[in-house]
Amino acid sequence: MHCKKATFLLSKREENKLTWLEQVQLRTHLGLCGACKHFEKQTMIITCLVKEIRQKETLPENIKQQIQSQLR
Amino acid sequence: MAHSLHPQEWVTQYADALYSYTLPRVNDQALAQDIVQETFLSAWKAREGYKGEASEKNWLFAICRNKIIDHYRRKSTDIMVHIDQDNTEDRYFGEPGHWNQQDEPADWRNAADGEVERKEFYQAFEGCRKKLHDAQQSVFAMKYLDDLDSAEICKTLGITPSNYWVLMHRAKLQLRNCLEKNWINPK
Repeated sequence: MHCKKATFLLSKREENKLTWLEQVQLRTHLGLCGACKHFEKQTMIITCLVKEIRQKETLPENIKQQIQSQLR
Repeated sequence: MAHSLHPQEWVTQYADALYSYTLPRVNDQALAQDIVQETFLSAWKAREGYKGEASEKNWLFAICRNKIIDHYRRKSTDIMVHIDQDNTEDRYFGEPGHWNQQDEPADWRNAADGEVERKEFYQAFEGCRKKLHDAQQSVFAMKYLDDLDSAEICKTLGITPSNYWVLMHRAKLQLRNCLEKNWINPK
């Protein structure tokens, strides 16, 4: 298997859609290929960090006033 | 007073919360502000029909959520064209399917361990996300911010599961490439 296929299977794996054969092929490839192993780790890092996006934002005051004036 | 609404307090009570919820999902300040405004106006118009089944807060969030979903749908109308024309994979992989040398994923080590590093991640991520095409941005937000499963996403956007994987996969390829250039190894 080559890297293009392996990375695609990694994405597909997130949906638990790999066949038994694909799982074996993917595991074998990841054992041999550092770049794809990094890809695997990186997508996990991205997923974790994105899920933690919890910024507190403030709606600009002028827009608040504008809305307030419309609610009457 | 379970069935009553307090529209005069909506802005003070919920405007920032709705905005904080909307902004990361649409990744555009002006648009997020419009959605919050439309949420309040729709709620105002529908206030007579409020039965008190949901709390005032949940009711407002549900209205806002629908508006965000509408936005995802609008951004995905030409989704199939993108799927067909996109050549993301060819950008990063040569023949026979190996990473191009300059695009090989590097070891990020403990890049996201510190507070500062995370902050930098979110800044880089915001920019990198904007480089994805609209349909990909929608799919990405639905999956990772709204925690929807693929079946729901496919149904909402009217795409097949294999379209969905391809979109997500290409989004990841692009994001990780962009993040490596702008967050891990900024010039």
